[in-house]
Amino acid sequence: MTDGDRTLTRREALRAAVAVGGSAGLAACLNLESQPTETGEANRNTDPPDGTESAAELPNRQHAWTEFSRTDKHGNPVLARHHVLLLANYVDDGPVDDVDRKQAANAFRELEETYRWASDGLLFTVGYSPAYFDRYDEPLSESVDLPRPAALAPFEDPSFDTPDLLVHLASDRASAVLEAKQALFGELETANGSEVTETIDGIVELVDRRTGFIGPGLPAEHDDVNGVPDGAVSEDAPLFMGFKSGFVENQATENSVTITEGPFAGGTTQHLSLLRTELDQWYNQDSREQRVAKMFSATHAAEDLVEGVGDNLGDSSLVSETGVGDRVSDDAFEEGVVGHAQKLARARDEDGDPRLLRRDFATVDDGRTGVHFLSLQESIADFIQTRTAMNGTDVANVGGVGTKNNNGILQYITTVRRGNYLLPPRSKRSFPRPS
Amino acid sequence: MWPERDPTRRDFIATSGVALGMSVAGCATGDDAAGETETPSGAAPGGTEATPEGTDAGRENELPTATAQERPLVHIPAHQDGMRMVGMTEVGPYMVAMSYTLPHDFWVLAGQEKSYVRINDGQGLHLMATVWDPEYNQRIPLGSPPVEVRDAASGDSVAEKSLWPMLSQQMGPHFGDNVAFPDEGEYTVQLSFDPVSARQLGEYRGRFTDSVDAEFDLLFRTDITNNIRERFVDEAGQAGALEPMETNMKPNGSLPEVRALPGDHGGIVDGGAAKFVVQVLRKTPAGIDSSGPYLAVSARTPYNQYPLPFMGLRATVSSAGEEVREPLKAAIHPELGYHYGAPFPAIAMGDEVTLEVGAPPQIARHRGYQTAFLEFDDMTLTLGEQ
Ligand code: HEM
Repeated sequence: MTDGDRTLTRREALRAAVAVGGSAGLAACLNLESQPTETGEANRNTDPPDGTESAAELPNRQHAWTEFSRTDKHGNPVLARHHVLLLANYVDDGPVDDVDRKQAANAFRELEETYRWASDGLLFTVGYSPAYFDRYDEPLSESVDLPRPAALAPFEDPSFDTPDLLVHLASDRASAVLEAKQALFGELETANGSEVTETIDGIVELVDRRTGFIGPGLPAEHDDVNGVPDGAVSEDAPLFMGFKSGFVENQATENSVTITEGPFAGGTTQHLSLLRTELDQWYNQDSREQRVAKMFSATHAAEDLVEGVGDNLGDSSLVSETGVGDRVSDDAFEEGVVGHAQKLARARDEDGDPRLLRRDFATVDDGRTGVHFLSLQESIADFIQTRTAMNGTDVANVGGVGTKNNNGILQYITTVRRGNYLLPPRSKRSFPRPS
Repeated sequence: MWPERDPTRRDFIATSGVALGMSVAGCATGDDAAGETETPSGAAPGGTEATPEGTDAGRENELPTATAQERPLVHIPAHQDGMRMVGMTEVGPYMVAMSYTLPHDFWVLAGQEKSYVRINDGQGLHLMATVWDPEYNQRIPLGSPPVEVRDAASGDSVAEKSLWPMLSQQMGPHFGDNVAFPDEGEYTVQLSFDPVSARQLGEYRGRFTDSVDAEFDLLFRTDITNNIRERFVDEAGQAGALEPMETNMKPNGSLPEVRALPGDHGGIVDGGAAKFVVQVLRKTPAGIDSSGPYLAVSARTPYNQYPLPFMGLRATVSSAGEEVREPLKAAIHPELGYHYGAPFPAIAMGDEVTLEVGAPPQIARHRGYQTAFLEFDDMTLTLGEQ
């Protein structure tokens, strides 16, 4: 496959195909995946696994992905490599009628029957925004904390996503996320070898489609977009900023982000933001030691705790073990810099566990690097509290730290969009009523 | 004006292989000792070229030979460039001036760790934003303002980043970075200013709390940038600093003279090549909840008296056998300008004050300042004894 005058590697081409989407992208993908593989991409020249026949075999939590995903050698769950986000609106005003509800339920169910519920098959969630629930007379159940999106820092000015629903498709196979989208919208006759009979075509309208990827090698292969210094992103970096993220010790569990009471027990809330990343300063101007200090902490930098992308850290970023979360203000004063992970370690819950289950991934949508920062938490308040810790406003006038200067990675990221969603339990996945 | 024979940068590079070699070596190694062909910004009012007086600069100049070891912490850099003004505009409580010079090298800091930023290949500019309060003429040296440069015709983004807070001998405190321009042509430069995080005191209370944007049109043409003149400075490597440049920007970046500062003068102590001017105000200024006296420390560069922001500074005050140790917080005030301070209810002339520095000023440094203001011993003075 070529892109202009350049030959793409196989992985690059797969990622590019996801970004292109449509039938052209899908055809390219299937073709690539049937070729012998090199590293990384799990062996795709076998047929994709079949779907799950019985709905009863699947967990009631839409977000139950971990036990169906790979884990790395340290026991960290590995997020699927390819992602598509579909933002869509219900076509009518007012409450959704039961016919449409049934139609969508069948379409989602058919996706499960088509692909195995696993990261080498297809994992997906369907979430609903506060704007969606506005169509009903009754308010959303009080057991759910789902405010409209808002700016969460004095220095940001994001646009707000207000589609009715957000479908998140994830798979290690680029073809699966592409094909699943087309199957869902009735653009295909067959998907993964089975006939497509149920779709959401006609009842929802797609308003935006976003794509992304995460995993060793993928960012390095997309360093051809604007703003990425040549060769700066390490070959084994899973994300553009060059460090591994999502250690099991630094993530909330699926259990802890699950809503426990009320009509949406078994569900969770989802925040999706689009962050633009500025990599020229990060790679060309900061030194490695400064990057480690800003991403983790000055202690991580001084004691050389992070090797390469941070695989040596095992299953923890060591923010608790080193106690750096308790030294944020001291470090701002004495060291002149505070780390991102260090600041966020202050946002733990009563048991000392992180509040967010991060499932963020990198993107080159619109030809620029960024992160689709997607996280799950029991309530949006958990997200706001965590993001407030990241803002570091409390240390923005302490010692060497400013609003953004040496304040974690704030200097390198800009929040462009924000949106909040409820992921109902699987049984209420199709156009839920508010209570 | 400069004599006609003064070399432009291109001219200079073409005719002086030796200097070019040095310059490249300096850029490539990032070694303080190398690269004596320094390029701090020179300046000019209203878009004309720099007009340093009485200089006969140029290719005949001897290359300076001082090494980093022999050089005073604050020293005169080896050469300077002109500067071009893009525009000046009043937005919200600020005056903002946008200017540029040739791409520059500089050092960014995270803690004690300095990272040398070399000049990239390709065509570009060193963009600079200078920000002040037009009422009291105090520079506001804080923030990392996001900048977006777009092609004026297509609207395509050429660069999007946060400018570094920086200090240079001729420009004083400003925000800047090098930006590559793909082609000649017209660009728009949009700057955003976040609310100021330092304490805002006295008449400044609540003044710098909104986010504001400023936009400028910039014409990028290599025949213009090639004419940004550069000259060698004979005194390179010696103790001293290039003068603040004369521009039509009202405050030149210097803090108020010591005798113009409000309150009782407690003395001046030196450390890390910086000067710490200690003042005691009988009443804590509005904006801090205290009615007692206020200790203000105006930390500044020698020679040009520029503020040194983003520093961890703490004071221990001993009066009548009682010791009080408090961090001093960064603040801006119409008469004190940028300073560090805290209320000390019992402080009085005759007390002993010890200043301790935690993090050195975390402001990016242009040449001549890169080795200064990094290591500080504790400094003690008795108030009013000098
Ligand atoms: C470009 C964007 C971002 C990058 C590259 C990034 C990267 C990282 C890295 C490398 C870590 C340490 C490793 C780990 O614990 O997994 C970390 C930790 C963390 N990040 Fe981020 N992050 C980004 C944005 C965010 C945002 C927007 C939030 C949410 C407000 C966030 C929340 C967290 C949390 C909660 C932790 C764990 C802290 C703890 O141990 O308790 N991150 N991030």
